[in-house]
Amino acid sequence: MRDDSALLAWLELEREAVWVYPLIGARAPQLAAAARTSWNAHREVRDRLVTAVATDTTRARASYAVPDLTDPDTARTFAQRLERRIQAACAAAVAAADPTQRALPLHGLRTAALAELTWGAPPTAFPGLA
Amino acid sequence: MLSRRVLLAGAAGTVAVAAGAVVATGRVDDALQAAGVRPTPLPTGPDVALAEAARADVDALLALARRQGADDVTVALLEGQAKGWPATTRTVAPPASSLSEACRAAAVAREKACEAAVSTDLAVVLASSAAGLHQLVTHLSGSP
Repeated sequence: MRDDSALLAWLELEREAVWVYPLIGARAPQLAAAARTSWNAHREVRDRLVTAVATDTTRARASYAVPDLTDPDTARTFAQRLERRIQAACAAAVAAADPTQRALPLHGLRTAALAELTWGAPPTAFPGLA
Repeated sequence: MLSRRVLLAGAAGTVAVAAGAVVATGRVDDALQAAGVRPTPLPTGPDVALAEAARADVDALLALARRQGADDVTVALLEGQAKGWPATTRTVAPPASSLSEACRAAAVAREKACEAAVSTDLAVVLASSAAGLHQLVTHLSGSP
C-alpha cells in the first residue's frame, strides 16, 4: 500500500493556507491583494493534492492558531513562515515520492517559494532546505 | 544539508570517509551499513552527471550575473547555489539569453533533472534549487 504520509502532512498545511489567507485579507485590507493571490495559488494546489492522495485521512480544522493579523507586519511574517513550512513539507514529499510522482511536490514547492516573495521575503538559494 | 552535500559529492572516496572505512568502489553499500548509516540510494553515474550539470549551469549563470552587474541579492543567491553543488571541471557555454531567461531555463532544467534523479537526496536538492531559481526570476522581474 502506498505511503501518503508526506503528502497528507503537506495537505494539512495547504488547508491551513486556504483558511488563513482570507482572514489576513479581511483583517489587514492593505494586504488583501496579496492574500487573494496566495489564496488562489494554494486552493489550486490543495485541490490537486486531494485528488492525488489515495485516501484523504485529513480534514480542514475549524480554525488555526494565528497572531494578531490586523498588524500588517505580523501578518506578513506569519505568511512567510507558513510558506516556509509548506516548502519544507514539499521537499519532504519530493523525497518520499517515486520519481514519476515528483511533479506535484515540485509544483507545490515552486508555488510556495513564489508566494513567500509575495509576502516580502527575499529570494533564497535553496527554499525548503534552509 | 551538510550530509546531503557529502552524499552529493558522489565519489566513492567521499562516501567511504563518511562511513569511516576505506573501501573499494562497489563496496560502498556494505561499508555504509556496517557504519550504521541508513541505506539510501547512492549517487550513481547518471546522478553524478546531474549534479555536475547543475554546478556547471549555476557557474555560468553566476558569470553572466557578474558580467551584467547584477544586484547583490542575485549574486548572493547564485553564489549560495554554487556552494550547494560539488565542484566540477565541467563547463557549459555562457547563456546567450538574458539573465532572467537563463535562470528560467535553468529552473526548468533542474525540475526535469529532479524527476530523473535516482537518489532521493539529490532529487530534493534539485527541486529546491529549481524553486530558488524561480524566485530569482521573479526578483529579476522586479515584482513579487
